[in-house]
Amino acid sequence: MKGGYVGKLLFVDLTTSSIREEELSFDLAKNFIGGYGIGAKFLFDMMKPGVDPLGPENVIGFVTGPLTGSGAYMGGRYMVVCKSPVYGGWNDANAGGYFGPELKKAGYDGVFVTGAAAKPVYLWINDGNVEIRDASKLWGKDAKEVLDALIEQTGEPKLRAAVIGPAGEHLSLMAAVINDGHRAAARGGSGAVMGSKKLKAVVVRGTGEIRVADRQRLSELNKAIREAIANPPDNVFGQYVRGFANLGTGSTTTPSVLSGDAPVKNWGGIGIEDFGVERAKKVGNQSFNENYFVKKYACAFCPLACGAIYRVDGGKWPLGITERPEYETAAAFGPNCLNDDVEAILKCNELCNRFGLDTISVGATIAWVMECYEKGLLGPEELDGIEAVWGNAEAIVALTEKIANNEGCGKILALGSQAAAQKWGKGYEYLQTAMGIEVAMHDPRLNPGWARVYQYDPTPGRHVKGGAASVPLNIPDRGKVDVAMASNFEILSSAGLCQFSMFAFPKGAIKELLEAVTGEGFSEEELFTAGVRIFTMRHSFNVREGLKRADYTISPRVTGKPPLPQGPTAGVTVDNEKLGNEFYATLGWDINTGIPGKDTLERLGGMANVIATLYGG
Amino acid sequence: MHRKIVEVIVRLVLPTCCKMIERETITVSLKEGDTVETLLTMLGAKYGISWLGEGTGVIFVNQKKAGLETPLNRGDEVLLVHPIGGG
Ligand code: SF4
Repeated sequence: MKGGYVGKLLFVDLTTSSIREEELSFDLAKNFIGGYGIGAKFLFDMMKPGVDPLGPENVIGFVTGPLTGSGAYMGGRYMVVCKSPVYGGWNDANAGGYFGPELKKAGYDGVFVTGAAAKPVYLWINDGNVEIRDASKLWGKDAKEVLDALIEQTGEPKLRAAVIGPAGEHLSLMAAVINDGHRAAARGGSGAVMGSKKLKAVVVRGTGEIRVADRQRLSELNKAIREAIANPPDNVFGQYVRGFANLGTGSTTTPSVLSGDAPVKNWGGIGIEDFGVERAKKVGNQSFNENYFVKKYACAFCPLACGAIYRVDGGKWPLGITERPEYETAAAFGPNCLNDDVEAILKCNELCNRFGLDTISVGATIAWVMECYEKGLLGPEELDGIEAVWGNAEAIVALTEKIANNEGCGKILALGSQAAAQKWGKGYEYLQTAMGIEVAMHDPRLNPGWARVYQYDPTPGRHVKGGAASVPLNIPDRGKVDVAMASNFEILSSAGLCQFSMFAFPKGAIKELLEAVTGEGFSEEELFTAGVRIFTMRHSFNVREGLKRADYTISPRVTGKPPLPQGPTAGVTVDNEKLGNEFYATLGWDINTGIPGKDTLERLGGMANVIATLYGG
Repeated sequence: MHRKIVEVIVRLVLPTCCKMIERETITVSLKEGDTVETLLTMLGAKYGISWLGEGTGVIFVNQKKAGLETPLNRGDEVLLVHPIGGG
């Protein structure tokens, strides 16, 4: 293609220290776009089913999209792909910041790492030169400290790195991949996969140019996007843009708690009653932003800038410079633990960023501990003397520290709530998980479509997988709407865009950006099909692992079984079987087994290996 | 029929300072027997906020969940929660 792609992928085997390059073919790029798509295609082809996710045969990929670093607004994403050590199936996660664009400038659309090193290493990709380097001196450093150490070791102040903190080294199943010190490809245990390979960091620096087919058109499109963001419409989408630009994703925390969108008290409470208006306001960014705000933070090429740098100088947990927590983090450590201590939330956010942990899973695991504590299943004996009473901010910070340092009860909790329930042999009934991973902080009892996303996406429990989360259930063609939304998210993510482009961009901008940057025409139909193809490829990875529809489980409370007795979502039970049936049927998958039909795969095209694997020949 | 004027207090829980309403709490004069729906229509028209009329937000009257048909009385506190769900 004329632009967007570098056209090269890098493959590294850490067992044999071998390094090779491969050209990215036109067909592959057109069929699978980038990121999740190219990642899923390669992992399906490279891996055998049944391998240990924490063994050398797992492959971890860091993959960009054609828009990443192209100059297209909001195009700064890269995606981490691997087999998940949490649920033994497909895993992907994405992050913004500046790593993705730099990887491309350094010469590659993506890097796939297999094998395992005997001692800690990092990958140094410097303008097309690739080295596997000793990381013994970096092992043990947190995700911020390690950046300074890397700069010192390489003498390159402008490097970018995707790293693990101590949590990944300890193989915590909640371990994230962190870049730029605080942007996290957090979910599904990718950090543990890096740790199992003794891969501390993928470090990149490049001066290469990312080609753009039609720069004039790109700048026109960017101008339209900038104007749309500067003058958001007065509807819900516009409110998001305005809210995120002013106060970040946590601009929504207060209304989310009160509307029933944010889970409260490990999903058992009611926001307006158990947390109340004043506390809901206290944990919302609107109330505390001015206390800690230093300046705004934006990922590469982003005019929206939903991030912020904070400073916490006094109080119980002085942090100095830190970052503003995202909505998910504030909800997980806040109302879901009945906690309204903002500085405790800031502290837990900082701990998770430094140690490389997924804030959703850590916060949700602590909420589970608190419910077990209340019910008398766990006590100070199991919890190293910590009194895990609802809302006890000190206890929340202490438990996060235990998890971060992998000590005492933290050794067990670092494996996530499900593994902890198994280890202690109790508390199963209070788990709020989908296929074993803690579900994200949007409640399907308010917007039932979340249940479909949480339960039936190939990466369960996520809030970043689109789907028709907030579309009413009883509309005709519900399945079609859901599939269209799922496809859309696959495309924008795989293209390298931030998902907030969904409501910040003028209509049709994604397709036009792809065309301007790559110089290739994409019809609406082609893009829709590519999105479904990517979704199906991710799902097929799970099918090959032997995961059937029945394995896609979700905790009953999350879907309102039993329903809440009061509050805005009183009486709601989500019929997720039905949502799943409609979704699978629309995709052309068997609604009982979840296996995609052969004719469906043939119609999608580009799925030869999947057809051969699932149907022989 | 002559209907008495009643005043209700409206609190808006928005994701951020809404362009149209500077203050978070406003007092609104309604007629006796008016419902939440009347209030929303009024606010929607007055401040040009489209979401208010959509019925997608969550509405509480005196901290209890209310519907469009819930009648409003003097001194009632109406809480309008924006339908937005976090990021
Ligand atoms: S909207 Fe926020 S998360 Fe998305 S690219 Fe911009 S700064 Fe990053």
